[in-house]
Amino acid sequence: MTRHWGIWSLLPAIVAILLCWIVKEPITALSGGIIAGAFLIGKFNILDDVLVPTFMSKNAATVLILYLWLLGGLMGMWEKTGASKAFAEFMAKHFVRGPKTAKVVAWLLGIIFFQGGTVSAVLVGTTVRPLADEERVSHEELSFIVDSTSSPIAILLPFNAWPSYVQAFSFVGGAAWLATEADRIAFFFKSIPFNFYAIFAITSTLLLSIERLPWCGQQLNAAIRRSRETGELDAPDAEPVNSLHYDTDHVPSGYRITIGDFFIPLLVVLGFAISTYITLGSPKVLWAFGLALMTSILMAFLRGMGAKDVIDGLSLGFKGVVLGSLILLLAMTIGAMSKATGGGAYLVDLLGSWIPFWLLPGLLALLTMFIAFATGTSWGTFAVSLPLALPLSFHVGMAHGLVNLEFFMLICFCSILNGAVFGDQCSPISDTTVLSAMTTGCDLMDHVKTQIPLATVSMGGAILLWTLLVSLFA
Amino acid sequence: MKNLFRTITRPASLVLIIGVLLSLYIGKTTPPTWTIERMSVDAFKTETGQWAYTYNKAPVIIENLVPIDTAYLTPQNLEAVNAAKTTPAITEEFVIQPTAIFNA
Repeated sequence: MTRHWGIWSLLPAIVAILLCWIVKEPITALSGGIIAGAFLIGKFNILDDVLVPTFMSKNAATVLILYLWLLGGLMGMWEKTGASKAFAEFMAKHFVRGPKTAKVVAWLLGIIFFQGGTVSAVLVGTTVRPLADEERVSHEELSFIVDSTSSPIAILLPFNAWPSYVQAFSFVGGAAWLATEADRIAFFFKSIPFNFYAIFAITSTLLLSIERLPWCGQQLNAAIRRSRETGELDAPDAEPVNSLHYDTDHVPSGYRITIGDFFIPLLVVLGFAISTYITLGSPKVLWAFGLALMTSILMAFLRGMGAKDVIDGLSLGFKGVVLGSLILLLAMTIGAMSKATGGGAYLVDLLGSWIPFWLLPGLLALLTMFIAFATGTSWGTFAVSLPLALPLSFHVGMAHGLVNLEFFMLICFCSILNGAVFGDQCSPISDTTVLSAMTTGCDLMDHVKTQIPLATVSMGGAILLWTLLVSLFA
Repeated sequence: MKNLFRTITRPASLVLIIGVLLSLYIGKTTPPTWTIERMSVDAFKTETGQWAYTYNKAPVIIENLVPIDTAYLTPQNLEAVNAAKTTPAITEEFVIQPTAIFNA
């Protein structure tokens, strides 16, 4: 069970989002939201009662090991061996013929890394940024492509941890098609063709990449013009989250730069993640990155790099991600705060069962969009909304005597799933948003402001289709 | 003093101060409303006759399982708790239902 303080449950998220808009700096904003949340639930010793319990959780330890040690180390090795630069030059020579193809490569990598969420954002952003920078692709465009292909692809190609997680919140007494774990996972897979927001987000991102999108919002248009005409990749007043640059300044003299230093560790990450998913049922991301880092170090040693240079490379990478790791830990803490103050539970409570059935998918989408935007987490939103909203949709469908109740619930399920993905994607306090900005070198708020208009159009289209479908076929 | 006033009256400082003070006031004066959050698991009986569910491919024994008819965390009980502005005696309970088990 959970508790909430009515509208005041949203106070921590509101404080964090307002501060984010005003100061354009996530650490201050997240810290403000955490303090507000801690005071609301009566935890005044923020260090001992809030930060320590969150940071000592398995999730926080994973963040530190994965992002600070393994990913930071790998990025540092790529910088030290000149591998990223070599990759950028290879892609530029063989595939990239300008900003359009650079963006298509980013989009394709986003599709390939279908594990979704933070891992996808990190891999695509760090991989593509050097060649996109070379081709004058603005950081706003690149961070949009990275963010817009990370979580949406995870619900369209759900061969990942998502279905197993979501099914645990999807039981509805009386709905035979949701009775067992296997039924609920099958229900998740049945929903794929109706994940309209994800489909539109992926399609519009491709159209943006090939520059065939009729409209992409004033600010993104301005960013595209600015970068193509002046070569300025960021707005004049931008303050990028991460200042990590790939260049060959750090490569030891005499070390021969090869593209293998980049591709082999990358293949190790992908190969290991996919093979462990197939054989063990869930991708072992930590192992995959750990093995990739070891491979990278071993390759550098075998090709003559000394231990001192390797450690220098690792510490270069750590420095580049230390701020991002801190932001991620704070984003996790405010997610825990939002759950503790019950913001999501309050919003679902508020709606009740007064709604006409054909309005329910749209309202559930709006509700989960708002919860995920306010809390910065799609998985947290599933946890608070699915156990309340799915039974609500069952009862509303029963009350209206719907012929195709399973279909109606399937559409409601999609609207919840996609609403949460939208809110998470657009929220300035979401870990994937922060990572997309961080890995592409974009100003966080510039990224947020440029992606909201396009994502909103995709969601508008999706809500319209869900409403039409339940009106005609439920 | 002038600098302090200027710092405090900045929009960001005002948002932070008002937000934190408001949180403090609400937390001290307003009792929370309790609602049910359900999570379902497929349960099975182990060789020793205990109920369990599978998590990370390993069985987890469910302690203190109660039938749905005698559950404490029901909408009716929570309504009473909320009306009395008190805190429920327990906040988590494993409940068995013919086709599934809830963790409320």
